[in-house]
Amino acid sequence: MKEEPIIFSPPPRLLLGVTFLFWGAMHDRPLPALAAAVLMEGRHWTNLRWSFGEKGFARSWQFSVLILIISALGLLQREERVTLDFLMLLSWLPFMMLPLVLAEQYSNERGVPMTTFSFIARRKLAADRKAGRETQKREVNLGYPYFFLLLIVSGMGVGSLLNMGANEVRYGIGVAILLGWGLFKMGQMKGTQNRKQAWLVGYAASLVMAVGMSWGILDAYRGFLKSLTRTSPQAGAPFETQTSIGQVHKLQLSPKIMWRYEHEEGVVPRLVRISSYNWPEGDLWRTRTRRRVQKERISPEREAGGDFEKFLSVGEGAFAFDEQDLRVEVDEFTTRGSIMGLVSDQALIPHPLRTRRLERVPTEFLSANSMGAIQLNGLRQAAMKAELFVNEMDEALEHDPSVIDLLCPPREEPGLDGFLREQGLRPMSWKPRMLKGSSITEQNSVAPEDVSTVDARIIEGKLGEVFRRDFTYSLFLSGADLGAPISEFVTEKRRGHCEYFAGATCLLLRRMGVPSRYVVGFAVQEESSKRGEYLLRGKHAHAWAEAYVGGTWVNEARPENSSPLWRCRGGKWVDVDLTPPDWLAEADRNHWFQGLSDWWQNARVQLVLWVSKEGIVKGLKVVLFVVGGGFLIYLIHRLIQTRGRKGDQPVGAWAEKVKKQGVLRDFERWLARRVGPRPTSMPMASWLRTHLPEGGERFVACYEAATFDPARVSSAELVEETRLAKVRWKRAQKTP
Amino acid sequence: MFFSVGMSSVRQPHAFGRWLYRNYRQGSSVSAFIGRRVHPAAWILIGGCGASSLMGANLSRSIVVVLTLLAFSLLCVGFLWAFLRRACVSVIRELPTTVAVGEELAYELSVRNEGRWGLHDAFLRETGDDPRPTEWEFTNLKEPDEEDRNFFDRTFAFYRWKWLNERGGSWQSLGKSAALALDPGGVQRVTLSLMPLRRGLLRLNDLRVELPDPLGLFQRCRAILNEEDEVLVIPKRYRLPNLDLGGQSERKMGGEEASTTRGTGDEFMGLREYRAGDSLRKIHWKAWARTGQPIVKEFEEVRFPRYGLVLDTSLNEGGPKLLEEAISVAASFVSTVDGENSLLDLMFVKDEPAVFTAGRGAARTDRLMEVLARVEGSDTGSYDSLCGLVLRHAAEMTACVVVLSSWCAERKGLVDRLRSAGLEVLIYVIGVGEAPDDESLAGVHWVRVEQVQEDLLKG
Repeated sequence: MKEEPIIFSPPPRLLLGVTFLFWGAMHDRPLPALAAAVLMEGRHWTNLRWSFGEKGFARSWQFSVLILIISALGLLQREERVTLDFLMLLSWLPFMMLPLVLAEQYSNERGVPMTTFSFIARRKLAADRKAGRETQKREVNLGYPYFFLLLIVSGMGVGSLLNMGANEVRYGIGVAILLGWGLFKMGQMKGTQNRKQAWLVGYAASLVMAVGMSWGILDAYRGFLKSLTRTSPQAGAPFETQTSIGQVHKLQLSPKIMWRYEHEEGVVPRLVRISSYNWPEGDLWRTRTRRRVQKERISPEREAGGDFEKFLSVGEGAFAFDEQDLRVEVDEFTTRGSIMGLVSDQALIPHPLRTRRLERVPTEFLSANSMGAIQLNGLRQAAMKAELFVNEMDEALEHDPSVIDLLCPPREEPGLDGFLREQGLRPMSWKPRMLKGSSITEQNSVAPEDVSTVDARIIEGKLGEVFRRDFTYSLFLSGADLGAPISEFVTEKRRGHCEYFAGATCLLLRRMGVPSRYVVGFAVQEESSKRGEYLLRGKHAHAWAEAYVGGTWVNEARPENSSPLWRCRGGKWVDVDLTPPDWLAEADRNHWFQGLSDWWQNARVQLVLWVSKEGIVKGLKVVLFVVGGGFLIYLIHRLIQTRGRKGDQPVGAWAEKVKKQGVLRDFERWLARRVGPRPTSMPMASWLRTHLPEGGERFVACYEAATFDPARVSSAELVEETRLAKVRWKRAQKTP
Repeated sequence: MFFSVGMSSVRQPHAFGRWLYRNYRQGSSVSAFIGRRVHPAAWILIGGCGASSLMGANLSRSIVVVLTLLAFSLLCVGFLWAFLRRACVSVIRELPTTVAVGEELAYELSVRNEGRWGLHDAFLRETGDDPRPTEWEFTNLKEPDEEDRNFFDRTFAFYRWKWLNERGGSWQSLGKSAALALDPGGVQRVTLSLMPLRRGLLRLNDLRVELPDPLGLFQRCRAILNEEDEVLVIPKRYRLPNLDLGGQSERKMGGEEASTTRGTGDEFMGLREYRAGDSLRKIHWKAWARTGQPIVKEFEEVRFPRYGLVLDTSLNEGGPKLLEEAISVAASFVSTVDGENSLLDLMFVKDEPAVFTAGRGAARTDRLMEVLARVEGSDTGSYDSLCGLVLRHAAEMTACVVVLSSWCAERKGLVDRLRSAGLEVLIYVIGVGEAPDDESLAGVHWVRVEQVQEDLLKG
């Protein structure tokens, strides 16, 4: 085997230990850091060494990877805090790699063979050896790469460039000192660092440059964050939703399964909502809820933060919206179903209109806002299968409309009114008078006109007919005037996707005096192979309008208040989806490999659900403890058995000698079985020369070295030469 | 370049092979270029910079960007520093005329700073010979047991490329010089070493001064425009046993002046009549005066043993490696034969028969070493010419050593003809593995290419 120069020099004494302590200081975990530092630096104070060989290093690497995989699986199980957990996982990466690095530190070898990191490379090496080819031994010292990894993870999850505090300054100073130390020593080992002054000047220049660049990066990042906040709010958030209105590209529809809805009883809901919004602003729909606008208060015991109000807890994981729902028996709900999927804390659950009760929800509590969004709070697991109970006879979670649900952006009004008149409809004459600002105050002394249920249905029918007849559903978006995109849509373009239709429906209904809101959610469309189970994919995400029909406007202002407070009461919310139905054809196309992706998604959900079951985690922990403990005991036992000492004369020299003799004896037996026993008076070397084919002299030399000058040849080399000699002998036998 | 297996039939490179060769060649050029200029510390910083920028991309949750920026700044400063370094030096190499294959050559260089500024923390390094194979070699030569490799390896021939590279290049540079510390106009002597791997002319034409940055990340490599120097690399030589070439008592003619007459020694034998061609210095003036006829002095005839060394330079059957070993064996004989008291005729055929003589009264044996250093193999085995050449000189030879680079019918014919001519012939055949079971090999020294020294010592 040909040895090549080692890649990277080893780090100096104390560098890795101090860096571990730095990690402990940054993460406030002094004990593990101290233990790791002692283990790491212990090699300099003890003579204990092991000869791990290629196999030992490969096993250390596999053990490290196994720890990493187990940790990553644990992370997958806790999806609700995936970002933070990922940072935590990364910050422990050096500890996961400890088996490999400690093996290198305490080994008699120069470094870790490069083949350690690749199964294919190991197989190839084994094949080359078997074929008797010359192989190369390329080793790498992991000290410096590991040092750099430690520096990286020391800064993960412990601060932010955005708010420079003591922690951030500590990290900066620590990195500057440690990196400088490591770099200086590495240069010294190369024998090039003769000019310390020049080195100091170069390093100081680098530090100044780094500080300057960090200011620049900080400014750029702040600008980026600002632009991100303005143009891309969090989709599906309860306070606002971003639409694709006004963008120019083809709308991409994701086939990924977001949820599964299992229907159990009643009529299958065609639409499940995530939230509704009542305030259009260009390409955004926002919510102006009672708390934010009218300063209404929720009773303190049910306040869940923001506009959200807690559900009443019925039992473990069971929630009802109000006391009336508590009294209803489960069988009395008109529609029942389950919603299943991966979830994160504070996520919004898709649900049918008038969902009043939920069971088997893995949260501490559940809340809903006045727009009908249901939010998970204090999630206990990363997946759920919650049962939904819908009562068609009951009210929706949404609060009754206020004047806000009749508002239309002033720039949209002329276009929308013109369109309505074209269709023979008369827009309402009532003009809302509102003072806009951070809060909205109603100024209308006259009530809005009431619209009967029949009239509302006629309007809905007429609009639906026009949309089906004169409008085209298209995923290809063209630029729009963001001042009045809906007017432009209904009067000029007449092409668009569901967000255009939903927005237009909502605003046109408002102009006709029907209170309405913009709703986002999913269309329940694709039934899976399992009967009653519907897949809610990304491409089934949908937008529509909801209208409050049959209500009457009443002033609910208290007598002492000068401003009126108009509320529409006595009606009910209904879904109004006027998007031409051909959009579903677009959503029905699936790729051939979709089945595999669906299976994987389902398997992941089921795994998380299974792990979350009572007792499973405990059982897993016990198994892990028993297996891990057993493995640890075995590992310590093996390490004690195979320990050696630093230098060329290890404690195991005697064992090495015995091993060499064993190898030679085995080879003699092997050859004797083929060529007959060695004559009593014949020296071994002569006997080998007589019977070994071409190249046999090499083995004889190796044999003589092993016998008379053991330091010249290691047992590994002897084993290798023995194997080669066997290969050559067999090959020679095959050759005529 | 030589190979451990015989050459296969010559193939034309196909488009894919040409593409592979171009890629490997360019790839190794780029790799060598970068490897010479970028130190391991820089690789760690580059890798660390990439990893930290990926792992710390979320600036709201991590501060790792500080490390990324520091690493990036170090790289920038190191690169700029190295890039801006200048050196203007002239170098004179002090080289021996010859060096043997496999023997480390350490030589001194006199370095003078021709620039206006002092030069510190700089190093000299000879660029070794390019080990990359030619396209023909890459296409036509196979590594041993290549057919046993899997389809992928056989198709992409990367291992063949590696194998050829390991065996390529006629010499290797062994490290760099000590650090230079030169004031303007100052002179410093430094030592460099190299290892000759092939016999022949070793050309040193790419000496570079390395200018590292003080952080130890990058270095600039500036070529030094000095004259090209050459060293002749003579073949490797083996230790030979005491040879009994026979015919020691039969002394052949030698001396400073070879002539058709007797008497070039120092001991006076007598007088005789002048013959055309005799030197005027040998005229015995007193006897001429006495007799009236031109009379010359006659000296004792001095004869030295004369040996023939016949080298088979044919590549047929054997191939380059066997030829190299044959040349090494021949070189061993040249260095063993006593040049003061014998003559040695080196005979071989390249394009035409050639004889080079060294020894007493002729050229020094070093001359034969130089000839052997330059010998090239021939694709055709002109054994008739070689035999004719040997037989023409047979009458003058005491004994003849024949070194054959393989064994075949034609070579056997040559040996038979030499033996039948009554020559005292010592035959060495270089072969792969054990000698074949052939009666004609009786009296022939079979030298296994794997263990030449051992077989030569066996005698």
